[in-house]
Amino acid sequence: MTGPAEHLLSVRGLRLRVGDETHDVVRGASLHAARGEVVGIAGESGSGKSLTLRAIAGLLPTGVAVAGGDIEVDRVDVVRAGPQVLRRLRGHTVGMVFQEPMTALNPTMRIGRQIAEAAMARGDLSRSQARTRAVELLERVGFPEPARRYRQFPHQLSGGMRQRVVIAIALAGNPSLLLCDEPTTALDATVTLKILDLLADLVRDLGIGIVFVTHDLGVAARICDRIAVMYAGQVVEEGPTEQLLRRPRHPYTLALLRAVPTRDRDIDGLRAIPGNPPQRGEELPGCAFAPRCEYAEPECRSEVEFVPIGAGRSTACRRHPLLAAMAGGTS
Amino acid sequence: MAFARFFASRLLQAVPVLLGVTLVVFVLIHLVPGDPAQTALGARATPDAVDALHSQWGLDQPLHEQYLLFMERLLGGDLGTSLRFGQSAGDLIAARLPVTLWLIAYAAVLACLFAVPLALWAASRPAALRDRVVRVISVVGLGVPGFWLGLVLIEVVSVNWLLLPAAGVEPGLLGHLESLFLPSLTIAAGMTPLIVRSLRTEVLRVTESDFVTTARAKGLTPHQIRMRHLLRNALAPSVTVLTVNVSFLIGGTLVIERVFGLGGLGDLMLTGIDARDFPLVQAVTLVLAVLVVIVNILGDLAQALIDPRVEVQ
Ligand SMILES: Nc1ncnc2c1ncn2[C@@H]1O[C@H](COP(=O)(O)OP(=O)(O)OP(=O)(O)O)[C@@H](O)[C@H]1O
Ligand code: SF4
Ligand SMILES: [Mg+2]
Repeated sequence: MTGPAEHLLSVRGLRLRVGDETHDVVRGASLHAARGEVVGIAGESGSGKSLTLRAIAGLLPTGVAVAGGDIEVDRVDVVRAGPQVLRRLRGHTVGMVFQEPMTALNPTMRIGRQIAEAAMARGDLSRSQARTRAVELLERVGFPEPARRYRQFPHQLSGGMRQRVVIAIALAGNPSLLLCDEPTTALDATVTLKILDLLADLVRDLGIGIVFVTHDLGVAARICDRIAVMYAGQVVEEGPTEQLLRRPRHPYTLALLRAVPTRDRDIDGLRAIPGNPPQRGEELPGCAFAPRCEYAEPECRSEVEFVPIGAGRSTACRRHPLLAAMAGGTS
Repeated sequence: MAFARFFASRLLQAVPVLLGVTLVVFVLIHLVPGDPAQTALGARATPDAVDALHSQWGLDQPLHEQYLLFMERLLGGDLGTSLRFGQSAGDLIAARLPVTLWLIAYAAVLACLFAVPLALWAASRPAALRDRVVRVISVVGLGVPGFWLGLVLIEVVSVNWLLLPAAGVEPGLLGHLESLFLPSLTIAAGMTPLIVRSLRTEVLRVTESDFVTTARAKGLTPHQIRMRHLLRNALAPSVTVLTVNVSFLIGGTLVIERVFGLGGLGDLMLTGIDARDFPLVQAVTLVLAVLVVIVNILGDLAQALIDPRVEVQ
């Protein structure tokens, strides 16, 4: 076991606020990742996955700011870092892969240059070295004839190939942490599998750590070593992928799993999660999931805590022993 | 090459436009109420002189014959003969064209030199003081009439400070740059605000796009992001604004030409209209129209150079 100090990434009690609203959109999220590890962030739309991920690279959209908590990446304090330290962090330590390969690339610049430019941002490569590195990276992410492809523009590539270019850009600075925001959501099933394989190869070959945001538990199950489930701006359950998916210790994880189609459960067996996620700015005393939870009891409205429950798992549900007692959850 | 093919297709598309232009210019002379030859020569012209002009212009022939004759002349490089000057219209135009082209190109370059930094500066802090300052400058630039600004510039820069010539064109590159500076500046003052407005809007739009986030994620400096990613992608709509403006300028420089005594094409056009010199007006109109077509082709080419996706469409 590595102690928290040796984590490549550690996020503690992160709070993010939009503009001058009085309520936070991310309300105390905690997360950690080590080298060679893929950590998933799963959860419904609007639960704060993307904002959390962008906060890690210091790339919050204008109007969103950190209101509390700590983010540490490779011993850099991201929350309090100045622009220069952040630029260095992005060029050296952190790479980012976005959801939309159609818009994540500059339409007027050749793909090779977009990669070479990222390689040069580190400041230790000459122009021609950066070019060579870009060709290598194109080959690394699966481009046949990389030298010829160097001169292509994004609109000449398919979605899957563009996403490979985005990955090459993210790798250009030799990062130790790759942040992926739903990198396969815009791609079809076969391409998704290829991209997931590529990412898994990168973890194995380069020993990098990946934080992988997705709302698709199937995808998460395939690539993640651990999964953090987010609900309404908080991580409500976290643990090793297999145990978490087989024996969830939070009713929200359970509900998410029931909403996933599987081989032995047809459409009729699917259960939508009742109710709606909380509105932005809604008061949430105690457990945010309580209004939708079938196990809720009055005490849930007053206090909850995100606590370790052994075997590398943590949950925010005070009734987790009940879930543990229910034979095997959904498996 | 894709670009060459794109260029060729634009040239081909210009052919019907140019044919249309010749048709309009040809019809122009018949739109004048009464007999064009009579109008041109004035009320006191002898019937013989009017008849002579009739047959010289081919007005006694059927209309389609006249058009064919007109086209035959044009394709032979003959733009007609000016009544007022008794000289080939082509020669007259050739003598005046360079000043006008200089003026337009100079003004366009100045406008871009002002507009690009102003727009980037304003867009770097939307709604901040600098943004408002640029907006006020723009409104003033748009509101001030060109002839007035021209007169003020002459009064201040040329007469009071004795810095630049007040009128006319000096020979040589430096002479041109110097003597055409004030008139070009006057024209650029009206053009700059329009380019600033479109470029500022576009820069702000592109700033929000995903690939700029990608660029930031690479660890690039704000300056690198601006120059490599923002500017080029924000430029295309402004090129359209510039093209439209330059198209308007062609034939629209006459006031400035008069104020600064430059004697360009606009000036020649005014003279032609004053003298009811139909062949001259026809010839100048034709040349101006061809210039507009050329400017638009250049604009399209610039778009294709800026954005590789244009060629595909
Ligand atoms: N730029 C922004 N300005 C203001 N509010 C934002 C901004 N981006 C996101 N939000 C709000 O923050 C909350 C969390 O957004 P986020 O994008 O992190 O969700 P997500 O979990 O990634 O959802 P999805 O699965 O739809 O991508 C949402 O309620 C959203 O409306
Ligand atoms: S704490 Fe209570 S309300 Fe919240 S998930 Fe657990 S049982 Fe449900
Ligand atoms: Mg998202």
